[in-house]
Amino acid sequence: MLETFIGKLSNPHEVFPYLYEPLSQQLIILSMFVFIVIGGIVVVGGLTYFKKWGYLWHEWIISVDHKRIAVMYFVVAFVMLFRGFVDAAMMRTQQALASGDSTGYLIPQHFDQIFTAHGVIMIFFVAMPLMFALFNIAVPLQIGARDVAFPFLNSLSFWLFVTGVILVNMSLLIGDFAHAGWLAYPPFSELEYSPTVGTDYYIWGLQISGLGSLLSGINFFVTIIKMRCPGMTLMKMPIFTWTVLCSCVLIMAAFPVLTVDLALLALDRYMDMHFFTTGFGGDQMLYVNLIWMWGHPEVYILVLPAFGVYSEIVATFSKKPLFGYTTMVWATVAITILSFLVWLHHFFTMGSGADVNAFFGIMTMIISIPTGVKLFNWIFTMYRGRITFTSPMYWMMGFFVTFTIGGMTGVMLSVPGIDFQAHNSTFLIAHFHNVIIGGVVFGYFAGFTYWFPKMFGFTLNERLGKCAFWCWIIGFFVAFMPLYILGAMGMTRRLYHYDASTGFQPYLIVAAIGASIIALGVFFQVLQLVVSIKNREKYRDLTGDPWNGRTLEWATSSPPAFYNFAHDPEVNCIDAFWYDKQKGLDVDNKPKIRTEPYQDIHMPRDTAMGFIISIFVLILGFAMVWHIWWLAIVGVVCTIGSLIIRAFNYDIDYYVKASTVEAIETQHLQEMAGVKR
Amino acid sequence: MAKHEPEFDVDTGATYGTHKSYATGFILSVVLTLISFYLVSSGALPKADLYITVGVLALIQLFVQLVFFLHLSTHSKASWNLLSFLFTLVMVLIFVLGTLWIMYHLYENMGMNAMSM
Repeated sequence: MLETFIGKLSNPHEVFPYLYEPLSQQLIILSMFVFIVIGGIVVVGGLTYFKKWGYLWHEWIISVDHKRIAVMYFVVAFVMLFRGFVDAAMMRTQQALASGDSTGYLIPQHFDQIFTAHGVIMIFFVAMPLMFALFNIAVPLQIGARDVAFPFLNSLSFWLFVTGVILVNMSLLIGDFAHAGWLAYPPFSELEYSPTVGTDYYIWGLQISGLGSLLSGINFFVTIIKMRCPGMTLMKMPIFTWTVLCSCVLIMAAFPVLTVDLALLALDRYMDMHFFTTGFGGDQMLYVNLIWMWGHPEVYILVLPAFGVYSEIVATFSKKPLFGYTTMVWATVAITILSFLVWLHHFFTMGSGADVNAFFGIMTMIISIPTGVKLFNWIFTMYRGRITFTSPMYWMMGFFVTFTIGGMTGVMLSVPGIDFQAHNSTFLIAHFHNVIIGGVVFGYFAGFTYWFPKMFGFTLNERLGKCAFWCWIIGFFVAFMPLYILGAMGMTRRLYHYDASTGFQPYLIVAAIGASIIALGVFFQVLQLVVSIKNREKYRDLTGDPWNGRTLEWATSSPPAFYNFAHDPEVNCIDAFWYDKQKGLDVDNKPKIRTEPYQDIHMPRDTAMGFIISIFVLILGFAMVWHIWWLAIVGVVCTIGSLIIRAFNYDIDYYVKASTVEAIETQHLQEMAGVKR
Repeated sequence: MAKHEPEFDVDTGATYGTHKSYATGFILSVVLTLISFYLVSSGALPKADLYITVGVLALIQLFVQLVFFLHLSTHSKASWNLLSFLFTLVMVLIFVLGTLWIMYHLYENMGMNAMSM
C-alpha cells in the first residue's frame, strides 16, 4: 500500500543502503554528510544574512542574459569539478593501498560507484558546462549580437543541466549511484545485475541534462547562422565561433543517439523489454554500438571549442593574425565529419571482422591529420610573434606537449592489433586522460582565464595562475605516465584489488602522488580566485580590452552592458577590431568619438519559466527514479502545462530607451576618462 | 492564402504551402500508404520483393512529405535547409549502414544467428 504512494522510497534498504554497510564506510559517508550540511548552511545562511535572496533571484536565476548564464555555468561546473576530483583522489588512494592482504579502505560497491560517478561527472557535469559557459560568454560578443537567438531556451538549457546535477548528487544522500561504469554497459546495467536505483539516477540525470545540451546546441547553431553582425560572413568569423558552430553540428547529430540509447535501456529496466538483455533476443552489443556513435563525436564536441580557445589565445598573445585561418576552418570541418566515422575503435575487441576493424582503424589514423594541421598552424602563429607569456599562454604550451603525447598513444591504439593488447587496460585510461586533460581541461582553463576579465571587469592574478599551471602539468605527468607503464604490464582499468606479486603498487603510489600534486594545482586555482577577488580594484580593467585582443568581444566594456554593444558593430575582415585599433578607429569603423545619437535597443525580458519548468522536470526525474508513478504524472502534466503557458506569453521582449543607453555609456566613458587622468 | 503575402518566408527562405500543395501531398501520401497496405494484405508478391517494394514506397513517401509538408526546395534562399537536410541524410546513412555492417560482421564472427531476433 505504502509503495503505491512513495514507490521504492518505502524500502529502507534502497533509500539508506549505507546503514547496512561496515562502520568504516559509514564514517566516510558521515563525513560527506557533514561536509554537505555545513556547506549548505554556509550558503543558505550567508544568502539570508546578507539579504541576497532577492538579488540572486532577480539578477541571476531568472536572467536570460547570456553573460549571466555563462557565470552560472562556470560556478556549477567548478563545484562539480571539485566533486569529480574528490572521486578521482579516492580511487587513486584505494588503488595505492589495495595490494596483497590489504583491500584498501573502500568496499567494492563503493569503489564501483566512485569510478562511475567520476566519469559521468567529469564529462557531463564538468566538461560540458564549462564548454557551454565559454559558448555563452564568448559567442554572442564575438559575432556582435545582443544575445543568443533563443534567450529563454538558453535559460531553460542551463536549468535542465542543473536538474541533472541535482539528480546525480542526490544519489549521495538517498539511494546509491550506478556502478556499471560511466557508459553503463548492459547487461551489467540491466535490472538483473543492477536492481537498485543507481542506474535510474544515471539514466534520468543524463537524459535531462542531455536535453539541455541538445537545446543549447540548437540555440548556438542558430545564433551563429542568423545573428552575425553586418559584414561578418562565415569566413570572417572568429575561429572560436567556427569551432562552436562545428561543435553544435556535432551536438545536434550525436545527442539524439544518446537519448535513444538511454531510452531503450530505460525501457528494458522499467517496462521489462529486452533490447539489451542477454536473453529473449536482446543484444548488449547494440547498446555499445549506439553509445559510441554518440560517445566518439562527444569527444570532439568537447575538444573543438578548446581548439578554438587556443586559436584565439595564440593569435592574441603572439600579436599576429592566426596562421592559416582557412586551413584551420577546413581542418575543423574535416574533424566534424570524420568524427562520425571512427566510433568502432572503442570496441575493436567486440568481435567484428578484420574488414570492419581495418576500416575504422584507418579512419582513426586519418583524423589525426587535420588535428596535426591545427597544431602546426598554432606553432607557425607563434613563429616570429611577439609572444607575451601570460597564464593562458602557459596552458596552451602545456597543451602542445601533453596533447601531442596523448595523440600519439591514440594513434597507437587505433591499430586494432595493439588495441587487442591494450583494450580496457590502464594504458587506455592514461591515453584518454592525456587528451582530455591536456586538450579539453587545459583549453577550458585557458579560456576561463582569458575571458574572466570580460565577465567580471578585472583580470586574475597571473602569478598564482602560473603556479596552478605548473602543479597541474607536473601532477598530470606524475599521475598518468605510471598508468601507461601499468597498462603495458597488464593492469586492467577499474581494478579494486590486486595481488602483491603483480608489482603494480609502486607505480600506483606514484600515480597517487601525482593526483595530490594536481590537488595542489586546484588549491592554487581557488587561491587565485580568492586573491583576485580581494584585490579586484588592483586588477580592474576599464578599457574592456586587457589583452589587446583581436575580436569583437574586446570592443565593448567589461563586463559588457546587458545589451552588449551600444551601436551595432560592423566588420569587413577577420580581426577587424585589431585593424581598427591600429587605425585609431572604433569598432564600427567610425572615429572614436561618436556624435550620432543612441537608439532604442530590442531586448528579451527575463523569465522565471526556465527555472520553474526545470523544477517540474526535477520532480518528474525523481519520481521516475523512485517509481512514484502518480508524482511522475504530476511532473509531466506540470512541465507540459508550463511550456504551454510560456508559449502563450507574448510579453517576452521590450525596448531599452535610447536615453537609458546613453546614461550607461556616458557613465562608462567617464570611468575610462577617470583612469586616464 | 492572401495574394499580397510573399511566396517565400523572408527569414528562412522556405516556401509557404498552398491549399493545393497540401492537398496534393496528402493525397499522394494516402495513395502510397494504401498501396503498401494492399500489397501486404493481398500477398500478391513474394516476401523478398514485398520488403523491397514497401521500403521503396516508404522512401518515396518520405520525399513527398519533405517537399509538400516541410517545404524543402532548392530555392537559393532555402539552401541552408537543403544543406542541413543533406547533412542529416548523410549522418543517418552512416549510422544505419555502419550499424548494419558492424552487427552483421559481429553475428558472422561470433556464430550468432542473425535471424533469431
